Amino acid sequence: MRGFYAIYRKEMSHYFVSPVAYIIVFVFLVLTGIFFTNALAEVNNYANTMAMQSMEMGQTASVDVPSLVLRFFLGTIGIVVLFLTPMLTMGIYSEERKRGTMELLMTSPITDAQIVLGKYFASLSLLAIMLVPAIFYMFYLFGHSDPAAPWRMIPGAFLGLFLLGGALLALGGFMSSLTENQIVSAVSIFGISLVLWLLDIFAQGNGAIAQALQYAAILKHFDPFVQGVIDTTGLVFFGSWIFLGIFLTLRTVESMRWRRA
Amino acid sequence: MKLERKELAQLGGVLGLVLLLSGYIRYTSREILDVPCDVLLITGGVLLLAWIVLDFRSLIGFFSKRSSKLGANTGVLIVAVVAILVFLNYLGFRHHKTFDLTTAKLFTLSDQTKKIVEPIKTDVNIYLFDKAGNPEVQQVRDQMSDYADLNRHIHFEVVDPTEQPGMAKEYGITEMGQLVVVNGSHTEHAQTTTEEDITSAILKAISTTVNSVCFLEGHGEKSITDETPKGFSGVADKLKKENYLVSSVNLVTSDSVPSSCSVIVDAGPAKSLFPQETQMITKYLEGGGKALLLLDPGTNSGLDSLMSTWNVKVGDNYVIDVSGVGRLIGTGPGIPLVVNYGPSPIVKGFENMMTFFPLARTVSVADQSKADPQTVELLKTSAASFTVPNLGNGTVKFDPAKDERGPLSLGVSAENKSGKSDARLVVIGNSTFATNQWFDQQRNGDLFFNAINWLTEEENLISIRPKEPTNRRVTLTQAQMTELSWFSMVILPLLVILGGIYIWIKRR
Repeated sequence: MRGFYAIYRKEMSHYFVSPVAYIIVFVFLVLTGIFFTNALAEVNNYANTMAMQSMEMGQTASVDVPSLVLRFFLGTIGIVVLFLTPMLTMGIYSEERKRGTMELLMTSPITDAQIVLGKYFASLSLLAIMLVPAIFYMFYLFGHSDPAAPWRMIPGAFLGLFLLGGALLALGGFMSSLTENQIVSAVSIFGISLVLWLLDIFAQGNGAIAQALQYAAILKHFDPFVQGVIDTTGLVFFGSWIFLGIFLTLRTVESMRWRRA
Repeated sequence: MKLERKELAQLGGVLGLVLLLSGYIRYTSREILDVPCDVLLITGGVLLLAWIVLDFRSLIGFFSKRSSKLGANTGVLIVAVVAILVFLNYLGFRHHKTFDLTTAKLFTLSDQTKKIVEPIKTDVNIYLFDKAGNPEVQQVRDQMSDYADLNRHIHFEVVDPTEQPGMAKEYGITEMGQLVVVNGSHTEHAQTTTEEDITSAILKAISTTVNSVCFLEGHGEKSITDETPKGFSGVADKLKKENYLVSSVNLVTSDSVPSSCSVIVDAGPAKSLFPQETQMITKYLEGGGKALLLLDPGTNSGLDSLMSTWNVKVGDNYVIDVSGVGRLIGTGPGIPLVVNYGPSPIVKGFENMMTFFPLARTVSVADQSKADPQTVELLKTSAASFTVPNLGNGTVKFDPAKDERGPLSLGVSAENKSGKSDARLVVIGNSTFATNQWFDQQRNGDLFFNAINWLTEEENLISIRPKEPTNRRVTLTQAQMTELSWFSMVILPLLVILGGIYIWIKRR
């Protein structure tokens, strides 16, 4: 546990003493702000148009503004997370390998699992910190809803976003552990995420393979969360990716010991 | 440059792999094992084998290295873990549970659907005829997996009609996106892929009875073939889609109500029915018949004796609604609007939703103390309504001496269980609400259908309707909006950057 905490602290301080974290968080927050105000304005506009139309047609149209904003906003933030996670993870092993500090870590009394988990949870924490303002916006939005909107949708949606980010980070950590070159690691994580994202467009049809590929599409499992549905399939899916990412990273780190032998 | 035997073998091995792969691609793309394919596969195999034989020693050397052994171990471990994860995901996919956090339970199948689907004992195949690539298909697939979760007998498949034209022809598919429910030899088409339509189609596919709705004619009733705004063609179409047989009957030419009629509808007779006809209807109801009577103001239906037997009072009046609510949606005081409903399955779930009755008369329970037949007042106008004896020349005034004040009842349902079988009657003081012009307004159409479904005792068809999200607004003032924009887009990100600069300076 001490080893894990040491690595975690080292990683966190590494994020926050370098300008990298600040720039990533800054960009993320600017985008979050823009998307949030934009989503709110768009949905409000839509609701007003619908209300006007329904008055003319003699029908009432139901528009659930807070839920729609939550869905549009977090849907977009999901894509931002896809673009940003490669930047959070590209260096976590590549940089150490390049600078040779990985050797030091390997010879320290810290276990491989402590290294991998420490680094993973540090990147996850940074993601969580980045998401805090978004959570605040959502609570602000739901607080101004009339009639009151179900608060439970907010933790549900953010759980989805967090799991999505968690899966991408675990995968990113693994890609980073494979290479010394940060650019190579960033591009490969991004490429893999993009493929996972768009998989269901490529995989069509009824066949078992097509269905398996459709199942593997990340977006499909993320969508229900932001719509207000927690599906255990999604939990198993993201949980598996996270586990697989960490497990593979662990194997690569472990292999660093014996590959030289 | 001279190549050694070993290098040559390695080169051959790589070439062999390439050839094997090409052969495999050729096979999968053409789906036949032709001669070039055979050549590629055999040559590739031979080259690969030659490499293994010729370069056996270095291969052994590679595998006996410690790192290779460990690598192989890791490889096996990874394969095992991936296999377990795949299996776990398969289980998770097959046996999943969803928690719907929305207020209206938008993504959960309705209790009605559950009630209908869960007891099914025979295999029901549901086919969606569409291109698998269309985005809507995925949505339907997701929804159908919820149905399959309810009952293992539900099987869903997407069929591309261009790939399986025979099947498309068999089920009479004319356009993309049609959904068919097949239960043995019974085939039902769902009109759309909404839960309402799919469940209705399933219900009809598994049900064995077909109900027939007979519309009376001959006294200026609304016609089921009339496609103008005043006609009832929309009602007839929708009934047919709901698997009802729809027909017109003229009682003048027969001596009794046809026994095939599950329900008779008299939709706004302009002239009085003949006494014999009234008698036929009375007799039909005594024998356990069901009737829906839509009686417009300013007409005499000649059904007074029947009404008194059924403890229903049909007012000789017009209902005026001066609440002003109708004005919001462009209707005047002559169109009473109902938002209060009685305790009946016909109007279940209608609360706070509107129904309109352009020119209506009161229909109420004559004697509230009478227990039999069981009567329920279905539709109540607002307190700001009153009756007038006639519309005169367009200006009406409330006369407290003669006129009744709201809330007024516009419709009654009655049930008589004393006879051989359960007789049911619904009387509404207006027929225009279900015409083509008004049918789609608010819950007007639902009122008509729920009445028919209640009469035919197909109550489980009632209230399966698309769920609407709860109507919610976010009330922010312009100032709050501006502050929020500034805070989220500028101030907060700037604070982060300032923090970064502070740390950077401090560390220098």
